[in-house]
Amino acid sequence: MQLKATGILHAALPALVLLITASCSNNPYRPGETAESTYFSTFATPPTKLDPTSAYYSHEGAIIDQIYEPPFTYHYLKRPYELIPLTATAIPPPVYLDADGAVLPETDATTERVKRVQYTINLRPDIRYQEHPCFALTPTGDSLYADAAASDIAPYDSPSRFPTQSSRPLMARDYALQIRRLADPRLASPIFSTIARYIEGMTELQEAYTTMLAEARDARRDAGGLTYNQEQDEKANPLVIDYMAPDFPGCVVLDDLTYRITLTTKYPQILYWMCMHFFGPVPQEAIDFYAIPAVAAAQFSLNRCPVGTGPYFLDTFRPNELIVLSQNPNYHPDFYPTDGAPGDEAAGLLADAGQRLPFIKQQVYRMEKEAIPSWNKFLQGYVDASGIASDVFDQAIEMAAGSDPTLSPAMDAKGMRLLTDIRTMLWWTAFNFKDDVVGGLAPERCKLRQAITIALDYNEYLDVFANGRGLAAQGPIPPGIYGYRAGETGTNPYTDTWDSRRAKHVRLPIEKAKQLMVEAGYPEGRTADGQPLTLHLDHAAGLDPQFRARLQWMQRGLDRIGIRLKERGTDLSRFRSKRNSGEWQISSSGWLADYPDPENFFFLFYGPNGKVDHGGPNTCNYASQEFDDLFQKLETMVNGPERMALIDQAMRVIQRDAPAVWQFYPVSFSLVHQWYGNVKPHQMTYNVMRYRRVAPATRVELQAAWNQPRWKVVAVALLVLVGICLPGSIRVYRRERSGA
Amino acid sequence: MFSYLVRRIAYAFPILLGVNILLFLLFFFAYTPEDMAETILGEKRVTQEQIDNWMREHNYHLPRFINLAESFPATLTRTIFWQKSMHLFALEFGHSDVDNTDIGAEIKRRIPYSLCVTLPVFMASLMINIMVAMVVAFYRATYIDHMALVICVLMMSISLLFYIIGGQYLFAIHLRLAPVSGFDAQFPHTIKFLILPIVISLIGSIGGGVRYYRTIFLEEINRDYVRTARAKGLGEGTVLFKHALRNALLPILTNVIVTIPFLIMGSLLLENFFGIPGLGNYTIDAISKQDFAVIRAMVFLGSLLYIGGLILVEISYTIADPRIRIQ
Repeated sequence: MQLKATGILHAALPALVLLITASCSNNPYRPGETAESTYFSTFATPPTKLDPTSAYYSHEGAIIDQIYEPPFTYHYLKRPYELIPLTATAIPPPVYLDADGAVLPETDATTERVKRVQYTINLRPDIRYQEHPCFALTPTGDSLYADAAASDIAPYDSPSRFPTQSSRPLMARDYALQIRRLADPRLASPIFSTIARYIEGMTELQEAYTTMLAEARDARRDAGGLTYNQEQDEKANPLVIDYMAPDFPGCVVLDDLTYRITLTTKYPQILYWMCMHFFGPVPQEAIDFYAIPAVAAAQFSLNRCPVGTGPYFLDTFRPNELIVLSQNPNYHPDFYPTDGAPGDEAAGLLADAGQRLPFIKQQVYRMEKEAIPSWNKFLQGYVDASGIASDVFDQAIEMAAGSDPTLSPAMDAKGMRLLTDIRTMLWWTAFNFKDDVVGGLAPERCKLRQAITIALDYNEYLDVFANGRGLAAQGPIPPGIYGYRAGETGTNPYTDTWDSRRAKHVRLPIEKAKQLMVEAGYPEGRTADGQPLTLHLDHAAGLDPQFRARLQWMQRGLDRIGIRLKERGTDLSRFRSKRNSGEWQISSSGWLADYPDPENFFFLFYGPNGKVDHGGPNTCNYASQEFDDLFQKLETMVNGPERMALIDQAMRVIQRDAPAVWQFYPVSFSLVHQWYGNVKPHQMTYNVMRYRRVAPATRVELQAAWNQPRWKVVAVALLVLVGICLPGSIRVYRRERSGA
Repeated sequence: MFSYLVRRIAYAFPILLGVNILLFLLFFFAYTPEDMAETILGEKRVTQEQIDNWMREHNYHLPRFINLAESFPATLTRTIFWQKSMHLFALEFGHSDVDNTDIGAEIKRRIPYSLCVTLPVFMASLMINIMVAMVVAFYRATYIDHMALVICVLMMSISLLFYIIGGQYLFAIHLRLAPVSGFDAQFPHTIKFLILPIVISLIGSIGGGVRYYRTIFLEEINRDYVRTARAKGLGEGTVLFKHALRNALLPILTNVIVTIPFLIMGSLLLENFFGIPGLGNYTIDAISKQDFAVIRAMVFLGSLLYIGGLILVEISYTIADPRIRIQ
């Protein structure tokens, strides 16, 4: 018996050593995996919401924007961003109706006269859903899996593995259903409060759903008795309401391929919202399928397993490990654009013009929480594209004074390409208008805020803290958004000037800030009683060392005009409470554009959106009648010279009032390997992977060349180890022998 | 023995209840359900009404401990504490506040991933630490012993984080022998992802382990029975491995058995840096996302395993030393 065990051990040990040695490669993929037309990437934050009603974060959009197809999208190459139809046949023109329901011509469609606006969307007839078990029906129209037991579902880790699947054509009613789902209080759609102001009957629809839910829950509570736990009960047996039951004039299905959206006022931005997954189609079959108790018990839901018509479907979703998107075989005819922005052709971005999409067959995203391992995998060629963390910026990029950033020789030698793009995003330092010192519209308060702005030089900040990855902001509208003015015309005349030699905006001299301080009533930063003016920066940054460095930079800047800046740090909970009640003075904020319209930034400073008085997103509580009047006029206008003039006026007002220090518009830097093509950064949609392509043969060849194991070093190290251990072993052996 | 076990398990209930209450108080003092809703819903465009809706959907609108609006026993059961915490005693972990997934199913799914790393590390480190400690004890008071001690102290003084980053650089980037990070649940592809974390974890544990076991063996080596064994003419190896090791089992067991249940909890740092989707990773994620439901479940599980570990230690004493009886 002992002999047998020893024999097994003797056989197993070399086998184990052989297996481990054979496994010695830094390739994180299975053999042959990278030879396919597959895109490899990483993700740091697991997506938690894939339901198109509630997903709002970029890492969630990056997945579901490739699955759900809203009626419209953005042109991949053209800038400024241009709307194009996706599942719709055309971008519909608005139809304006007066109080009597009569159609108003465009010229008479003033905001006062327009009482209804209608958009009629016609869908393409050639669009089908991905294969999915929810469409597998019995002859009577019930789900094939309606009576499935948990054991029937257990073998499958994704609905895409179910044995029987089917599909059906896209219908207008799927869009209508999803628009109604935005009003479901359980789904907490982040855009509900915004669109409910415009889509007719949306608020009433939510009230109707709330009543339906309350009635259904009361019945369940009565049946469940003392042990009733609403949350547990609905997880085990999902509560389904008939979304289509209440009347809803805001979205009406006209026929199988046509639906109409009705707004209560002019709001052209609705077309931009309709480019987002919130307005994508959701089939009723999917809702019914995910309500089957056995399916719900297996953790399958719209929140984790989307059903769409897009170029890809979700093949594997293990949000803490692996996400795989595979090409949807039912994807409708779609072609690479034949025109683009100036320079695109020279950059090779039109080489695939007119080709059928998508090019990439599969996208594999692996969880990588830490930036360094992710970066190393990119250097090894195992990830096709990467951002550049601050820690490795110098390793990747060379910044020569007065010229554009270039790749470092090491990156250049690997044939990588650098892509930069100014993000449609703004960072600002907000002043609380409810504060007695920094708030208010009195001229001296405006001058104080302007002086503070001049003292905080964000060109310097970008050099010190962001490797120059940003553009010092002149106002709330970033580049890429209609209304942004570049160059000298875009200068904030109250705080900046245009340096034509360096072709950039620079802060006015500090003497100007000092003069403004005098005019504001704080000569040399002293109050009337001779004390230094002390301001407070409210934050919830905790002990973040980067925040400490930034705070010190701000303190040094303000010290130049005699202002003492003190921090007032609290936990997040208290910070939110202070912000909601207006008990703060200065704090930082940021906003990433939802769509390329100035309204999406100006509304953050619109008086009726004030945080304290109205619970809105205007955290500064800035309230200027002049700005609000201009905003109301430009908000619903169509882009053109008249709107541009109003935007310029609004910009001057907000620059003068300075409710915030406009910090900067970040610039994204990314690196791509030579085998990853057709890459042009897009800030408005994530549905761009269909345009991109990889060259697997080049990738395999270079991966092999870059990653040969260094066995010689290992052999030398082992010899040294044996050399160290040998004398000791000999001594033990001799001692044993002599002892015996 | 049986009545002792029943008694110990009964004692565990008030401890677990206390842990639950303490965690509940700590969490809700620092982080209200409203904050939780605001974090989960995102700060962009979220309204008070949505926050209220979210709290209602997740039972966070209820009073915390006592519901005076209801009659007994609903006074106690229609509260956040009861609805969220008492189910844990039936090992019903509930659902994540952030993504609504079933925590129990997620724990079950992740345990094997954690064990893939912790189990080999546990077994190999136990074996290596004991063997090296014996060799060092064998050379006690010689330059080998002194050198080994210095190396052990050095190795103990270095943070695991350094081993991880250094190990990734050396083995994955410089020698190109293992992937920097990642995981593949399908055997044999799993192996290449496990080699590096296991080796690093082993290296990280050797310093402390060898020192600990060396102390135990040195104590045993000076005992009378060892002297007798040597006097009988037994070799030093036999003396150490057969006599001293068996008698040193009690302190070894105290150290080892209590950690066995914790193997399923995984390693926070290793799993995070190597992208292993085990329970350590799950816990870190929950903390960073402030997912109270998952944190509560993991703390409860940790407490349960700790109590289980202590009971196991006591049982193992009776097996290792026939003189010990549990009553």
